Amino acid sequence: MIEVKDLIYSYVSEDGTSEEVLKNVSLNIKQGEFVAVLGHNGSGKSTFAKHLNAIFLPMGGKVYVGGIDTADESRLWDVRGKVGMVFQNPDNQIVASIVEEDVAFAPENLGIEPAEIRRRVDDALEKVGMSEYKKHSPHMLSGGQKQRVAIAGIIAMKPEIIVMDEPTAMLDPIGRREVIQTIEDLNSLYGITIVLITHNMDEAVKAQRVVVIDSGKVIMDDTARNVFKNVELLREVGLDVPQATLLAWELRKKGYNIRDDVLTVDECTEEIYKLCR
Amino acid sequence: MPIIVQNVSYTYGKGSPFEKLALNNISFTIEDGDFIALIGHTGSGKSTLIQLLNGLIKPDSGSVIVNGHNLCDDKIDMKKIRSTVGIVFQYPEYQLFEETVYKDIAYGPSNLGKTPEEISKIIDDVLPLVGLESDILDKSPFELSGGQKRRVAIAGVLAMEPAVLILDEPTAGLDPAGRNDILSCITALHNKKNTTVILVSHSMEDVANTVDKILVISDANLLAFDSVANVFKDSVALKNIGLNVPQVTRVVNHLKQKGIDLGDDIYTVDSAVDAVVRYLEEGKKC
Repeated sequence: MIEVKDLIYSYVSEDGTSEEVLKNVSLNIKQGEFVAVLGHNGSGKSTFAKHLNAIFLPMGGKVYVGGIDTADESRLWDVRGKVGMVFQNPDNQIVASIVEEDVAFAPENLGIEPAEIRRRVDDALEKVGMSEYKKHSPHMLSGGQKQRVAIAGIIAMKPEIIVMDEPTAMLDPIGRREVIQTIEDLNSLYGITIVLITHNMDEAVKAQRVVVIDSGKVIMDDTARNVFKNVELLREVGLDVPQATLLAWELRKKGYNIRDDVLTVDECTEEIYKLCR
Repeated sequence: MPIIVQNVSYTYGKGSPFEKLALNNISFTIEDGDFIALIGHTGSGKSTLIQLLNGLIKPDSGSVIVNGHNLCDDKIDMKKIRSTVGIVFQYPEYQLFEETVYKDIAYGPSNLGKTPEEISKIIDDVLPLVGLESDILDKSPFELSGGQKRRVAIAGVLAMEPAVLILDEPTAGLDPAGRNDILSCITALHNKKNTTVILVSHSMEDVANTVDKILVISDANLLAFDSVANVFKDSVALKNIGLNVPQVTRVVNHLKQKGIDLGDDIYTVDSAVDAVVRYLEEGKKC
């Protein structure tokens, strides 16, 4: 679905000095996958994300989306039609004054028939659980609701992949839960490929596959379980693990017989229960 | 200088269709040097409350008394209050505007009428508090990383030398390393200058690791104002208002339901590790 080969990208500052932020990143993302991309601020993860729908073009290497080279300018709109992006700040992504008009904005720009737009908007709002708010004004919604409207706006374009760049970073715990649930549903119920850029470990554990980027390189690419085993390595690159994982890891380090791949509160409870009973 | 909030109520959009009671008859007292977390879900009234504490808005009824000055008094010197109670808003890095970091940090104190010499001394003073080096002073704030920008913005508020510092989600959007940096800066500041700190946060893990007391607001009401231990003891009450206890505390609570009592007051990973070890050691003795 997405093929990234030896991707190189540098930022050039005003005084002419350049800083290489992506150094030979290679990665394939298959249809239907839910991939979390982890990395600390400045690791290159957002720069990577912006290559997936041709906001940035590679300075070296190639990015193919459904077989199309993102650097091929004549196919730009095909690429953007396949890969939808959701950004961090919900307020920056809302353009209209009524929820359903906002969701209709992209399909309108794609020149889709009004009757089809109506169907898509209703369907998209249904998928993110915001149908009852379709006549509401977006600025009266909560952050989580706004973000779900932004996601509906992307769904209405019928993309094959949605790339989300820290979609929950500005939300409160309830908003986070709503958005993460929506993302999980889009992947599991509707088969939409998801690339979730995040540094929230509790979100990354929901993904089937976790890719860790550090200093512009992919340093881990495995299941969430296998990635979070590496508590020390993750800490070295400025990341963290869920508290449940950390607790199990600390106990294991002290010599207690505990599984090395605990991810959730329930698993951690179960393991300590086995020790203590 | 304590902050005394007495029977404060505040309603937004009075008389309009959007009228909303944001705070309902709230009373509490914050003592000098307190390190407090303010928690509550979005829309609970947290932001309204912090705006009341430095007079950005005034209560509809009740009173807010800072250092003996009643903020509802029309004749009060607001400049003085604003320099006593400093607020670092959410995403403060968006508020940077000057050409250089130095000028940006100097903006607050120069408006308070400080001389250039005084300002220079203040800046030397606050930079290390937020973990920045002096070579950053001549740079444009816009060429810094997100975490650096945020620290510059916090330094801008510290430069007004507030006795009370309020931070609205200072770690939002930061990665784990950036989050730990900011939290340890705040803790160090509190310890060094005995600054009263009110930390608005959604992260119960961060709260458990940093503060002494927690103020819980839900639906415009003050639900609790107590020690971290006492607030986290009632995990059901917190859950009912859309909040949660830290992950390790949930593990401990689940274990208790299964008949394994590791003890109370466990809300950090370290204390949980100790409790499990203690439990197992004692088990061996029997």
